[in-house]
Amino acid sequence: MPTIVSVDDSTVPGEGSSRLLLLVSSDNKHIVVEEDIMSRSRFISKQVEGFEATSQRHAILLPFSSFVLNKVIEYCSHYRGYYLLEDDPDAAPPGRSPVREWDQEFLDVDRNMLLRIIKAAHYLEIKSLVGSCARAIADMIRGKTTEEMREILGVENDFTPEEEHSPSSKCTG
Amino acid sequence: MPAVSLSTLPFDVLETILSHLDARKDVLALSLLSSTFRDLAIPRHLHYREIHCPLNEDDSLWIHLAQRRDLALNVRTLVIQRPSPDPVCVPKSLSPYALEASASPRHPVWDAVSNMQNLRVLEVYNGWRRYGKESMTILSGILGCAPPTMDKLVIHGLMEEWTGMGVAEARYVLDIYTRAPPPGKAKAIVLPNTTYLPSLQCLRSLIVISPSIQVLELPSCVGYSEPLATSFAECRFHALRELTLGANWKFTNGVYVFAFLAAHPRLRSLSWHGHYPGFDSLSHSLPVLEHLTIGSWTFLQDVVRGQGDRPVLKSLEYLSPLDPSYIDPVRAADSKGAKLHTLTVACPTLPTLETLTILFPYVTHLRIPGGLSVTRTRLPKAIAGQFGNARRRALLRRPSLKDVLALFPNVEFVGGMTFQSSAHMRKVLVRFPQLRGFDSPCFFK
Repeated sequence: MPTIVSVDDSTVPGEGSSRLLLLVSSDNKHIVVEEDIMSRSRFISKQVEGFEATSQRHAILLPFSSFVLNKVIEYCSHYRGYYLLEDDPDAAPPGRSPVREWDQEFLDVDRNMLLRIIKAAHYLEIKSLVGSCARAIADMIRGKTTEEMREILGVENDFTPEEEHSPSSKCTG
Repeated sequence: MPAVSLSTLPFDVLETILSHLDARKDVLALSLLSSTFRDLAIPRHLHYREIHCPLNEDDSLWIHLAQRRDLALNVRTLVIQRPSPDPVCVPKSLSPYALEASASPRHPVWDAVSNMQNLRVLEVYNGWRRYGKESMTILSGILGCAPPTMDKLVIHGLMEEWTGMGVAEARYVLDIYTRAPPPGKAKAIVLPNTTYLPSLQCLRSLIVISPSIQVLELPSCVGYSEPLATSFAECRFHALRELTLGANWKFTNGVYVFAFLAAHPRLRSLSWHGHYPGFDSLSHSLPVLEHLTIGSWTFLQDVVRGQGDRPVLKSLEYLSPLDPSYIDPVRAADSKGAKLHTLTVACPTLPTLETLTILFPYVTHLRIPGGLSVTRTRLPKAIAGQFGNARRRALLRRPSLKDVLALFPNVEFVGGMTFQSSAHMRKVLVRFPQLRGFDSPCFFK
């Protein structure tokens, strides 16, 4: 559920050529960002539409840390003004995200950070970033065995002993 | 910060990650991580990665895929089989979905293929006479709907099915090739196994509509007439990297094959199962060839000689177990293929290996399909008559593993071996410590 708190006009200067948004991270850091930059996020766009309907400006509380939020803002700033098919709500969804060189460098981070970014991107509904993160995760595990994938992704084995020894759970398909 | 687990990610994020894994092996490995992944990956991805199915008359599979774009996106390989008892491979989760016949005049397979936006391989068996005249339109439609992600298009057909068509129908099929856009998108094309009269024209059409093909397989040259074959030399694909020619590209066609090869000096992989008549000028034609499958000693020598002091040939499949050139083996001074590390030789005799080791002394992976002592080889009649029994026996002598390792001291892996048991295999490994293992497949008696 989106969490919204009211803020003073002095905190968020809303007039000017590009309006500003106040984003509050889970570690209570306040980040001011141009609305135009975050327009790639459908979540933020919906929030802004809500503000316009009520004629009130708010800060948007987000459930992830400022470190992750800054990475997302960096991504959105890089693609400011770019058209990406995945982020177009009116376009038919493409099969999967294309390879973008800048994204590969941008997502050259450790596994935990990658998972945090993809979670944040999903929350903010930035499909292009979700797609690029998914591609990076898939690249990490491609060609690996189940045990190696378990180590890389930090997934616990929750199969019961019966399921583990059941041929149907192992050889389906 | 606490560690984040992939299991905690939302369903559609996991779905997006899975969509980037094409191989069934990877999807299966992921599905064994936990029950969450199993429930997501098996019914929605593993069952949809490869679909092998004829064009059923009830069309239920195609309607299902036309209606469920989310599932059609998970298909990577689609094989539209001929109606036959071949085993089908269709998603098991098909039945729970409600299927309604479409009132559209479009065939549902077209919409199904249109939805497969991540499709990599499309194989179509062209023996559809039982579907009547409309089958050609269906084929054309399928080709027209195929997405740009397609890497490989294979159009199969059997000789008896094509010869029954008649020239007019064969030309109609040619039109399909010419007009359909997907071959222009595909990176690999495998033409029908039956190349009836229009095959060469078909090839020339491909150059116009898909000049950037990287992989080309021409299994047959049946029906080529000589005037047409001269045009073969005019065929030039600027990006062609891999070429496979079938077994009946023989002597007469060899002239044209040579011309074709000369027009493609950037070929990296060549597989030719036919006879090679030998042309001196070929020695400069294939300077960057890395993988060669050939049955002709003359051709092999020409390629090695052509690469001169900068050999790049990395792997060789030598298909002939015996060759007349053993009578006059190459000299050590001819040894030029120093980079070759993978050598495959079918049922070789000891003299074959002795000759090959002079050309390629640094082989590390040696594969011997059929093993060292399986088949009995005969000398060609023309040669057998020249020698006495002792010389003939020497030419046909089979090598032992000890002989092989003495000839190729750098070999670390040997393939195609037969053992009595796994214990026997271990004993052999202990006896020959330079051997690090056996390249699969190894067989047990």
